[in-house]
Amino acid sequence: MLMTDEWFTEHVFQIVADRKNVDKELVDLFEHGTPSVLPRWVSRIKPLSPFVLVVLTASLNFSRRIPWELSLDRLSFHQLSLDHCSPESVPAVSLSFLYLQLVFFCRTPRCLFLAITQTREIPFSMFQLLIGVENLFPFDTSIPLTSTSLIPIDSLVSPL
Amino acid sequence: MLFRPTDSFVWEYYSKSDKKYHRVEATPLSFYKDHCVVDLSRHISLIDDPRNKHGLYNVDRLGSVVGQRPVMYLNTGVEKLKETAIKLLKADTPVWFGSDVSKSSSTALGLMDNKLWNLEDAFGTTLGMDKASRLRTGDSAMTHAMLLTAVHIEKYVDSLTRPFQPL
Repeated sequence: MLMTDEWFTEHVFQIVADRKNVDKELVDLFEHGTPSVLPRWVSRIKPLSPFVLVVLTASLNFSRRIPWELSLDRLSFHQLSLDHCSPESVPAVSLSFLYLQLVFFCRTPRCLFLAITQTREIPFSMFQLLIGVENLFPFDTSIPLTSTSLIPIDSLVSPL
Repeated sequence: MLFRPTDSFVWEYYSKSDKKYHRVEATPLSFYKDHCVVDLSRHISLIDDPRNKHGLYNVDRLGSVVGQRPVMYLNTGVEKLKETAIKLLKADTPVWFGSDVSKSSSTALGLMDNKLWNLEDAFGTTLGMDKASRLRTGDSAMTHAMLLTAVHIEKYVDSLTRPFQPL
């Protein structure tokens, strides 16, 4: 195998070397420095607080008003708000399904959030609610939006 | 004790230099002392993790040997990794390295190069994430370790971004 310099830059993470071949200040740091301890794993979504779980449970109860034949993957917010739900259940339904979509269908939640808020079908009140959701679920804001922002918005929100 | 290391084992090989058959019978410790040419206790790990600052790191709960010294990593820039690897190769020492081997590489062609697949012309898209973003999103990870056995160095003169870069 032959590796180019650019490939080394982008995809090599570690080498092992005898300490006699490593710069002296680095060896000193290795032998006498105090290490920073990294966490065992880095999760993309932080755990929900109990308060959020209560809200979520309540909204799931509301969401039972959705007709049975509307399965999750065919659901669009437009359909929900106009055709199949009583007005007072709309915010709760959207909240619970937004959460489920965030957790199961999207690798970068913030990106989906932006995608949803950019669609014109959403009534203004739901728009406000979505902004609230962003605050309720403490997403890891360090996730950049670069790659998934290329995905067309429609395919993220609904396959219909 | 869950598992007891074997008392002794036999290692047979043909040498490339004298083209002869060799047979070595050793215990794990005597093999390390007599036949292993590297002193592993003197070796240290240099990493390039652009998510974190340069410095010394270890990972919570990492390690599988009771009483071992903690596993430590020196986070330095990728240029430092290259510099050290070249120094080792010039001293005729192969270099152990860890990488995400599946990215932009082809075993059949024997190539690992960022420009190997032309996504722009084929699919009308490019991959825009940098090294740190790929690590954060789980797109990339250190998946495979290999050995660098040689290096070819050229001075760049034709690139605006990398003028006269001696390695």
